[in-house]
Amino acid sequence: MKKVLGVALGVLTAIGGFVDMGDLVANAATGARFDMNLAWVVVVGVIGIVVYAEMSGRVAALCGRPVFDLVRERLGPRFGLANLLASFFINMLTLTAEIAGVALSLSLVSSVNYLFLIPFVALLVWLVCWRMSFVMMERVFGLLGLCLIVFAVAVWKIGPDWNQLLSGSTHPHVPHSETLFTYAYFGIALFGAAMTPYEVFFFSSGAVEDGWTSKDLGENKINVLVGFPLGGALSLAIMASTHLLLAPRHISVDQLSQVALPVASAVGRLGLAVVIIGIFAATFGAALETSLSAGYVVAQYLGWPWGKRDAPRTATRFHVVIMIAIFGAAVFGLSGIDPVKVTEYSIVLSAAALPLTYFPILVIANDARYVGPDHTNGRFLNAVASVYLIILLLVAIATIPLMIITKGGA
Amino acid sequence: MGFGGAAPGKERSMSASGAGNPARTGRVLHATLDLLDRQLRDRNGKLCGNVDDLEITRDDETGQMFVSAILCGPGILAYRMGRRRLGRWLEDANRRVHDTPRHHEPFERTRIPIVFAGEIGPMIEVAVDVDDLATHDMERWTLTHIIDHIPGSGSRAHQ
Repeated sequence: MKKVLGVALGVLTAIGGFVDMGDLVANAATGARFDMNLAWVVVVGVIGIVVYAEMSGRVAALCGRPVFDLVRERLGPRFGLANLLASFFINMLTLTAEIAGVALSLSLVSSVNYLFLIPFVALLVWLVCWRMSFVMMERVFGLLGLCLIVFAVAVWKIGPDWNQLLSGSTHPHVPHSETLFTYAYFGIALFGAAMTPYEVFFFSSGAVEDGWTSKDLGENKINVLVGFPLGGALSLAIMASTHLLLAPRHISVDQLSQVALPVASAVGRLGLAVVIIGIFAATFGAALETSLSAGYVVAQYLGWPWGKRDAPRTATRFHVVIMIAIFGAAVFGLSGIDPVKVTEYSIVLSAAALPLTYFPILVIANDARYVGPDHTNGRFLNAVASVYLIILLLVAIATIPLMIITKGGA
Repeated sequence: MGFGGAAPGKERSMSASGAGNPARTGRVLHATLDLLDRQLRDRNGKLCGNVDDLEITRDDETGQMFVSAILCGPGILAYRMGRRRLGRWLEDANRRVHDTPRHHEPFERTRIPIVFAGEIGPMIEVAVDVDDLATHDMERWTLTHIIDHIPGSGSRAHQ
């Protein structure tokens, strides 16, 4: 019974933890601009993260090695370093976006300018990284993130023509007002939001922090196979809500408050309160995950002690990197840079950096010396994972040119 | 993976099948794949750096090459990547923070003789104490100069 409860809790946490600032912004923006014509990308992205997160969780459970250890081992120190620099930079953008997201959600209820709230939020994020236990941290913010289900309630309350919604999603086309380039650019943004690299850094490191062993492989599978797709469904609900309420009124999403607009209008005041809690929890949880990821990648590349299972004094450099990352992100956020733009750039660049992170995971998940002869990838899984690697490569090549051609999706 | 620069004073050659000398260690390994860049763990299970480079020695009698030591610590990786100046700078910087010299060091602080290597798997266990390694100097410096000054860094495990 206790086991069942633990698994259920893990799944709920995975659902609530799936959505972050990137998903909120990307899904809301595409729903308002492209209707449901990019919904298929969310499905493709979710399958991708399911496949690779399962592998990284399995490797971590069986040999205790998190992703960035494998990156250096399998790519070598040079490519590993290139990946470290790219991942760290992108992670900083994401952290900035998440901290700004938390500040924005707080400013919605306090009517204080979000810039004043950023230092306070950064301090809070650091305090949780410094003191709160890993399990507690995961649970609290994952479960509170479930408040985002109110987006699904909003869609249901709007009472759309379900057949039309479904056929709009399954018969994608480029809208007349858009070009193929902007369509592809926003597709990459959605893809990057679903498969952000920090997710596997955090997921695999978290598995090590939680002390997973071969006994936890079942939980790994259920978390990933149930939790992530349901999190993806939540993303689609966000997209559908802005498609139904903002698109007909030609409102584009360029502020976080507009993401909450459909819920406020369809569910009312209570809905608005719930969605703000949801956005707060989702962005705060992701701020924690990205802060820790900053520490994880550097420490794991260099072989330092890492982790927050024990007191900070047992992993000192790891904690210093986290402090520097949070401080840097807060300063960057305070410069007044547009949080939504930072979010968009962070997810698009994520997509470009993905192959370097995902390739080593695939190699190790096939190496019996790491995962044991009984737990290597099956043929089917390898086929799917290889297809994704090709997609990732193509996306990586296309990203920067598309960014220039579309002037950042303008 | 390149071996543009070897650590100073160490033999540069590194054949693709730089295997251990079976006569000495009883293990034949693919040095690049099985040893390089692996995580090191000390005798108490603490993480203590990666295998940044390997020292290869030629056996005078048989003429065989074998891995004689694991090299790890500040600057070593930079040397291996051919960044000599950066490597020297890192070494010098580390010498400054290494404030507790030990008198009975069983070996050089960046060189772990291969006989100290235990299980070689996804992690490599070495029968040394983390405090005897140069990889840990900065960790200790950070502890006494930064972490200890912040409230709540205590040793209390907070699960």
